[in-house]
Amino acid sequence: MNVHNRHINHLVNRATFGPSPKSIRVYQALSIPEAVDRLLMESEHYEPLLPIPTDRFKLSNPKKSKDDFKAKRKLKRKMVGAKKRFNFYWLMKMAHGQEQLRERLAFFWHDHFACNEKHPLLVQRQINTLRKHALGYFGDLVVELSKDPAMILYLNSKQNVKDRPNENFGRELLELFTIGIGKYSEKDIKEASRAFTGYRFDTEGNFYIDESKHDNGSKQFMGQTGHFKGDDIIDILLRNPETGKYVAGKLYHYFTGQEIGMGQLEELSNYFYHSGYHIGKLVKYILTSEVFYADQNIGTKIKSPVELLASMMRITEARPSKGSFTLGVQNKLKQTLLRPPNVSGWRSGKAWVDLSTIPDRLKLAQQILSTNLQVKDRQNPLSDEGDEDVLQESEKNVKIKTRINPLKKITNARSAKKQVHYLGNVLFMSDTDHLRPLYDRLASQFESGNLSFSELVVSLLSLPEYQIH
Amino acid sequence: MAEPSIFSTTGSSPLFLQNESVTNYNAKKLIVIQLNGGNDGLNTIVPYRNDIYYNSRPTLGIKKNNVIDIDGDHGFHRSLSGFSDLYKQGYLSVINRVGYPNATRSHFKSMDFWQQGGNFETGWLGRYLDYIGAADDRLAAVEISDVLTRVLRGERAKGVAFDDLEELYYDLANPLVNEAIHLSQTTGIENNANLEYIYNILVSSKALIGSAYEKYNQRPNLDNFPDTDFARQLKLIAEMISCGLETQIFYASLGTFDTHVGQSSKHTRLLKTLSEGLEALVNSLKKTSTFENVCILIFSEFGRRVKENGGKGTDHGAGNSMFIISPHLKKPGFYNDYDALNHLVKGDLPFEIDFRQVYAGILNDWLKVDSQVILKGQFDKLNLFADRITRTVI
Repeated sequence: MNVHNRHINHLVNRATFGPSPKSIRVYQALSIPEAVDRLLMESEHYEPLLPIPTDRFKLSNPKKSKDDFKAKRKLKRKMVGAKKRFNFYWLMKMAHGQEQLRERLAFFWHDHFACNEKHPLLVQRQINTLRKHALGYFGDLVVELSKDPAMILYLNSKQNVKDRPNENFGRELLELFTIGIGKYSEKDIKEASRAFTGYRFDTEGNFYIDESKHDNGSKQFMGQTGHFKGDDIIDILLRNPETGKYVAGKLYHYFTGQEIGMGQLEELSNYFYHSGYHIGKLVKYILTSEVFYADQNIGTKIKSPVELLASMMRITEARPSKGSFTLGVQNKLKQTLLRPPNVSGWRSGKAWVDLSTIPDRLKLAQQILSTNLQVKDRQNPLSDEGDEDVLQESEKNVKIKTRINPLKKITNARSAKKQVHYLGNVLFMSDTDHLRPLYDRLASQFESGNLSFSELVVSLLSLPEYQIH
Repeated sequence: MAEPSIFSTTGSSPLFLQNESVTNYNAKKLIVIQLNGGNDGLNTIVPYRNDIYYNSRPTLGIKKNNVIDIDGDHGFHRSLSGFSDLYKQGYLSVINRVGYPNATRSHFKSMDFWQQGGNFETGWLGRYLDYIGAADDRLAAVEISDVLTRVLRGERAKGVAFDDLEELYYDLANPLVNEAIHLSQTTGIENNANLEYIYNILVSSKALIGSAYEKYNQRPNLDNFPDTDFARQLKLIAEMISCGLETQIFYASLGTFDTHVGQSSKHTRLLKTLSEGLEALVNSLKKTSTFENVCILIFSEFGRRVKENGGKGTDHGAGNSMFIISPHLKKPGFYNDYDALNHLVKGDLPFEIDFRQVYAGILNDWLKVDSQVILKGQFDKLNLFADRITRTVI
């Protein structure tokens, strides 16, 4: 594969959920800057993802309703089902949506602003906020998230009241969302928390400040004094270049898989800061930088479970009939969308691969490309209620529709050997020299008809090299 | 045993220490059985002379003639004939009113708390693995499940999850992957630490599961297990123990016991599954002369409320009973007083024993390690085991 195509493939692997049969040639025909512009252009459009009708559930806590026991139980079950539905729709959007870069960034922000709440409408609302601002201004994201109902619940802003501040949100805002650990004092957290007292949302999910619970007093925050409200605190945090460094460094790591050097961080965060924290511009800057295409940064990242699943569904155009399959895979491989383990998000890299996960990771292609699948679904990882009926969805039949022909088309009109090599180049980002004898074997089996095209694809997708991008 | 601090503070300990510390895996086995969803302790061991019990449970209260009597005041749920037999043989200890301060009623939060032994990122048995310096190439702890939960994850060491050793073995024996491994080794992979890492994991997993399977393949035929998922988990444990695998910690689970509605029939079925499974497990262990080395711990994340709800079920409660099965019990039978229905706290059974005291007793006296290091705190251990664990003829 020539260097240009390899770089394009690298870009497509890291900035989207992997190549699709349709996108491969389109992108290879572009220069790097053109390709990055096209990725941004394809993601310009934003539309909220609304698989759950907004009038389906009330926002009040079902536990506090006056309904009888059975009705409450039924409602809870429906809510769990709705959250599962959102999980499925979002994953399908990642695998097949047009706005690849937007979903990529939304996935990043879902990890950055990690939140695990039960109410499906609040989840839907929050993920759409992340998707909406995914490539916009970072400041908008932070402000919106500070007023986001799911986040208000998750980080106890509701319990954060005048004279009895709850510091959960204040602490994470500084430590995880903006300037990062070590760049503030405990006093800053206390004072910031005071500014966020009284944050509430009404039964429509609209944010308001309950003035009776809000601490209007003067606060001293990071060297400044004033009658700050939450927005003022965020403003001060954004004016601090450390926030730019923290966020830019994290995004750099997300795309390149490497820690950023001090000099590069200075340059990158300066650019980010002076763009007014424009995420799209920062992303473009990283994706067009020379270092992004450095050899040591290509084909070196271990795919997270969601990346593995989405990229495999994308290349095989897989559409499962039910979400229980994709949810089961996420659960087994330890990364379930909408259910990060805690507020600091998922551990990444090598943590994904161990004896308990590697057999399932390697078996995934076989499952997706088999026509009929028995899915074990003993545990429902999205439910916080161990309701028996919700949990016991054992052994379900899931049909997965796949279309392997589009991929076959673009590899056609070559010798069997060239076809296998071409597929290898499309699917693998790591060095594959060592696989040559295996390629040869597959090619001769394919040529003699002992191996179908679909089986050939399954074989390649089942190799350890596909675990990396 | 080497100084525990070596294992708890450094990333990896010197190889000779690891080897030394794992030589005694075989000595004592611990099987933990997790009852998911909150088992109703009051209908598991029924206080059949207590008016408060019957008043609180007009439809769910189990009548006197429907229990297996224990001591003239209490009886096992009729599904628990296996428990009753173990009780009579002196192999069962019932620890009552177990809980923890400020208990949560959320399943997940409470189960996390039990698995972690407090608010930690690691599991209590994961920290045990850290402590003994369990190396990656030894099968020290197995969770019989397709997912490894928090409990067997330590800072450094962790257990392995599988529910079918044969299937796992054949998954890892995939010829295509073998071919790739072979090529990666003969040609070598350059400048790709992560790809190399994945290949290394594959190679070590194959070696570990391969050698385990070699022994497992020689397992005795244990055919007395009922046809339930739970019994299949226990059968795998019995097979692994009896074929001489070095695995020391086993983790299995049953349920959900979350009986909010129509509790009676569900609970009856679940307890039957539990009792019959355990009976088969203990019988198999006896048959293969391995019961001697085994301690079984049974718990649930919380009990249920004393008062039944409007749906012929019970809601999430607090204090509960734990069960220990072993031939080396210091105090078989009721470890402590059962009745506390006169002293309810907000409608719940009060707790008198912190579950970490039970963990401490098992860690100190069964697994012979420093429980304070593993539990990251001081909990007065329960003296669960006979002072000198002598070899009994079983």
